[in-house]
This record gives sequence, C-alpha cells and structure tokens, in this order.
Amino acid sequence: MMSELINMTWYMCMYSLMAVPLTLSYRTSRVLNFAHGVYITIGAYIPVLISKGLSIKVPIPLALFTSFATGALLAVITHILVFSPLIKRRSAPVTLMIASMGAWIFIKYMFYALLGVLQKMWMTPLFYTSPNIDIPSTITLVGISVDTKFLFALTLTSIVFLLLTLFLTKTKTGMAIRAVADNLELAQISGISRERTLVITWAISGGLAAIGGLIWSLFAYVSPETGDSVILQVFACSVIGGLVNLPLTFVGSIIISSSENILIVFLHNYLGTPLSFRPFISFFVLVMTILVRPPAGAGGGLPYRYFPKFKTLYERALRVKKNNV
Amino acid sequence: MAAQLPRLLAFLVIGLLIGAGATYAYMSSVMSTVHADLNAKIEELNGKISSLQSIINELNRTVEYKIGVTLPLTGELADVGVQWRTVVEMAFEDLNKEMQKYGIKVKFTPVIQDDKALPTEALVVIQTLHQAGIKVIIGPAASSQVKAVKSYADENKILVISPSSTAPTLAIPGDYIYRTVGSDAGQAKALAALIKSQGINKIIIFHRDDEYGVAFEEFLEREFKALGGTAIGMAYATGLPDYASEVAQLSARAKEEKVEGIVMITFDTDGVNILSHAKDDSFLLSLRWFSSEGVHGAWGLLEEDIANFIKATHLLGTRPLFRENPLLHEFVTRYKARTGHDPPVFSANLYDAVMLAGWAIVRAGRYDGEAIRDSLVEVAKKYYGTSGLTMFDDNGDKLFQDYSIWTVKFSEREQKYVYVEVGSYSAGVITLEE
Repeated sequence: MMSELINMTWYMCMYSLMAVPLTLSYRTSRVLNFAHGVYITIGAYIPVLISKGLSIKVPIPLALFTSFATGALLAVITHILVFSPLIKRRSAPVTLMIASMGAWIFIKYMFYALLGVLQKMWMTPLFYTSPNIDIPSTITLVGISVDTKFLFALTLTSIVFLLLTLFLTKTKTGMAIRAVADNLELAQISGISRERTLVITWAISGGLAAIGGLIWSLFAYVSPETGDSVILQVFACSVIGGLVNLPLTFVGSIIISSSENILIVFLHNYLGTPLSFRPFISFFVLVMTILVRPPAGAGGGLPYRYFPKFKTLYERALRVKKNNV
Repeated sequence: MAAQLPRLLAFLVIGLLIGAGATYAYMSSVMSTVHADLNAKIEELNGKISSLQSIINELNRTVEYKIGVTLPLTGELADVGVQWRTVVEMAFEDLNKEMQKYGIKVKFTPVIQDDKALPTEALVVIQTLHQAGIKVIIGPAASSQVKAVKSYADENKILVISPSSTAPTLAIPGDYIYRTVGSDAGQAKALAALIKSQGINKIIIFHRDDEYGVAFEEFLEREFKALGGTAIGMAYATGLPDYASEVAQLSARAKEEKVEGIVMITFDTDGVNILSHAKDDSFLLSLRWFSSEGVHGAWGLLEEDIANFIKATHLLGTRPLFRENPLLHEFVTRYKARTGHDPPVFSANLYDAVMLAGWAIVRAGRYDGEAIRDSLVEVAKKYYGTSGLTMFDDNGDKLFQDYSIWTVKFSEREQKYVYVEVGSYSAGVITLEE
C-alpha cells in the first residue's frame, strides 16, 4: 500500500500543478484552453533539450526557471496571437474553444517537427526520453532513505500553491485577476486593465502547467504526447472544481489521483476488476461530477432536478449567496 | 494560198491556245487528284510514324509507381517508428537502383503517412492512400491496426504488407493481408522454451490489453503450460501516459503468487515506462525478467539506470531475426553508417516488405491489387532478403521464421549500452552464448 500512496502523492502534485492553472485561465478569460496540454509537454521537454543539447546535468533552479519561462511565454504568445483578437471581436466561447484546438494542433506538430530535426542533428533519441537533472536519487533524513525526486515534487508543489495563494490574495495584481474573474465590468470601471490582467494570467497559467510537466519528467519518461495523454485527467480535476474554484480544483486532483491509484487497487483486489479499467475511473468521476454538480454554475445538477427537497435547498442557497453579494 | 496563210496561222495559234488551255485544265484536275492521293498517303504515313514514336517513347518512358507506407511517426510506437522511416528510405533507394541496374524502366516512390499507432488512424490512412489511387501499402505496424484495416483492404483489393504485425489471430488465408514476419504462435514457443531453459517454472505474463498482447499471452501461456510451467496473465490498458500504478500491482501480485519470473509483452514506450518504475521496486528487482520483441530498439533501455536493471534481472528477450544472414549484416552496417546506431526490431522485415512489393508490381506488369497480390506470392517464393527466406504460408505470413535472443549490455568498444544478440531459437532448439 505504501507504493500506491507514494504514487498517489506524485499524481496529486502533478495533476494539481496542471489543473489549477487551467481553472485560473478559464475563470479569468472564459477560454476553455485545449492547448493547455502543450504547455505541459513543453515544460517537460525543456530540461531534456538543455541536457541533451548541451550534454550537461541540468541544475534544478535552471530547469525550474527555463520551464516556467518557456511555458509562460508560449501561453502569452498564444493569447496575443489567437485569443485576444477573437475576444476583442466579442467571439462566442465556442469559437474561442475551437481556436484553442487549432493552436493546440499547430504547436504540437511544430514541436514534433522540431524534435525530428534536433534528433537528427544531435544523433540522440528525443521522442521518448528523460532529462538528465542534477538531483541525487536518495537522501537520508533522520536515518530514513527518501527518494529525493519525490520530496522535491512535494515541496515544490507546496511552495507553488503557497506563493499562488499569497499572490492572489495579498498582491494588487492578484486581486485584480480575481476582480476580472468575478466581475469584469466592475473591474474595468475600477480602472483595472483587462488585457494586462489576461496577459499576466496566461503567463502564470502557462508557467505553472510547464512546472507540472517538469515534475512529470522527474517521474516518468516524456514524449510529445505527454501533455495530451494527461489532459483529460487534468480537465476532470478542473471540472470537479467547477472550472472556477481553485481550492476545489486542488481537491479534484486529490480525488482523481486517489481513484487512479488507490480505488483501482481495491476494485482489482476485491472485485477482480482488471487493471485496464484505470482510465475509466477518472472519466466516471468526471461524468458523475458533471451530472451532480455541473461546472461553471451551469444550472442545478441531477439531485436538484429530480428531488424537490434538493431543489428547494439549492434555490435557498442561491438566494443566500445573492444576498451576501 | 499565200493570201490565206495569215488566216491559217491565226487559226493555228487560236487552236494551240485553246488546246493548251484545255490540256492545262485537264492536267490540273488530274494533278490535284494525284496530290490529294499523295497527301492522304503522307498523312497516313505520318500517323503511323507518330504511333510508332509513341510506342518508342512509351518503351523509353520510366513508369512511376507509388507505394503507400503507413508508419507510427507519432504516438505509442514513435520511438521506433521514426527509425523505421530511415529503413523505408534505404529500401526505396535500393529498389530503384536495382530497377536501373536491370534496365527496367520503373521507378517507385514512397508515400509515407503517420498513423499514430492507432487503429482508427490506420484506417483513415489506408482510405486516404486508396483515394489517391494507391493499391499497395506497407504497414501498418500493430496487429490492432491491421485488424482495423483488413475488411477495407479486402473489399477494395488493396494489398497490405505488414512487417511487424504478429498476432496469430490475424493468420487468415485468402485475404489481402500479408506479413513479412512469422506470427507469434512461433515466438510464443521460442519464449516459452527460453524461460524454461533458465529454470523458471512460474511466471506472470504482463501484457498489453490489445490484439497483440492478448493473443501472445494466450499462446505463451499454452506453450509454457505444455512445458510444465505455470503462467498467470495480467493485462494493462494501452495508451496511458504512465504505468506506475500497474507496476505496483504487478509487484503485489508477484509477491502473492510467489512467481519466479516476469514476462513483458509490450510496445516500446510502455515497455520503457514499465521498466523505469520496476527498477525502483526491490521485489521486482529480485525476479528474472523476459520480454517479447515489442520493446526492442527503444532508446530508453540503453539509459544507464534501466540497463542496470536489465543486467540485475538478467532480462532476456526474443525477436524475429535470422542472425546468421550475411545480407542482414550488410544491411545493419549500412544502417549504422547512416544513423550511428543499430536498426530496431522488424527493420529487416520492413526492408524486405518494400523490396517484395516493388518486384511484385514489376512481375504483375500492371497496377492492379489482385494481380500484384498473386504476383507477390510467386516473387516471395524465390526471394531471399535481409530477413532470410520470404516465402509465405497459406495464411500470408512468413513461413520460415527464426528467433534471436537479445539483451542489453555495455559495449567496451563503443563505451555505451547497446542491444546484443546472445542466442537463437531454431527448429525447437535454444542456443545461448552466455
């Protein structure tokens, strides 16, 4: 069970670092960004490209900085070139979503082409590989040998979310981001620049997703499909958070990671469920969440629609929320 | 008389003039008829000369045939898929050189498409190539993909030659699917014999939950039981980004069942991922490991930490290969000179698939799927290539298939980890060099 708990913690760190920025970008910009997966992939590959290209062991601070900066830059460029022009033309959300799909496909296959060229130039495999990061495999703490990468992932995740919380609650820019997310018109009347806020939000979103990719590269091999292969689980975490609630998105990452690593073990051991059902668990949780608690405040869920008592409770809760606002 | 002379002369001149005019008119009509006849004859001759010229031009013209190639350039098999692309390029270059050498005015052009190692994408690629008029396709790589394209290929008479699909369930006679590699029914025998020869009696077969993995597990379990061993199958979902949870379960199950060995039936990327997690498990490190050909050629196995795991567990694998073939050695040398590393698994089979397709088209004399298929069978009977004898059995699979036993070792000469062949399986006999 210890190995399952360790795996669950790894996944929780990765999914939270990938899903929370997705929620942050959606609640601020109202763009359901399908290109989010490529930020994860790029973040995972930056230390690979540095270590293979320069034939060095990449120091952790350099890996962190370059991954964050590249993910942030890519997200900002995507916003400036794709989303911003469409937002200025008051495009419908579905148009923005489709545009994000176009950006996703474009960036992904440009990256494939780049890897193909670099692989030939450097004569080293790049399509399924791992970075050479300067980190010891184990360290001894109070007499116990601990996997350094695991400890680093856990510590980094904690620090990132602490800093994000402080940023969003204690800084002017963070509060401006929350204001734009909660009430755009009021924020603009208050003198908050929407465009500047969106650029900063996309930078944070892309950068954090890239950090999630970096953590992935410490855990498993990376490929150009890395981001795409986890994007549905990442969306599942965000949907549990209603696509707007950051703390609930973090809870979503705990739910999804534990269902993939702990729940499947119970199902396999006690009900004989094949291990190949693991992907099904995440999507079952996603579908149940959408039915019971639709994301982004889209009406009441199943219990509210079919059980009058729940409907009354829900309406009462809505009235209370309106009165508080 | 003298007085009438001028009148007579006048009549003579007038008569001459009239006669000349009449004669001229007559001759003109006659000559125009002759001219018309001659022109008609000249035109007829010109027409014959043109058609002869066309025939001569046709005989001198180089006919270009396109052969479709569907490769996993992205997705699960991308690691070896991009290496296979180089094999395809080499094969087409050599095929066209042979055509020139024998004075055959034919040129073959590959049309390479990416099928992402997905069955749905393979079908899309086959349909796209068919719409472009292509009747011969090399690939796809995976058995699940071959299964997905089979009915479309059979209905539209598209010859599909897969160099790496090995599922015994696809050994079906009379269709348009041909495979330049022996089915896993043979490899299961080889792998079972290898495992037993190492003194292992109880194993877990950790396999992909797809056409390839399920069929291989079934045949391996049967063969291993026939040799007196016990085998337990454990399937895992394909296409996942990571298998840490599955490896943890494998370890738990292996402890519970007290197995002596693990057999992995994987592709390249999932195989590398599984080993990258297995190396951190002390119990799995204490067992013997075996593998099919699926993970052979993956770069990840040559990384130090995984290579050390392979050494610690004495991992041995089988793969379809005729080791003693001099043509194979020549191909490997050329491939290595071009890329700096050895070719991955199924490279020889892929190379021969291209050569066979080309010669089958030439022998058929026309670009028709049915004619080329019939011609392929005849060409294969007499062709000896990098993979050895290429003759097909009644199901369209390679009839004569030997297996090589491989592992990963550190090369002192190259100062890096490399794939090495350490034995072979032929005619029911295992020969190991270590």
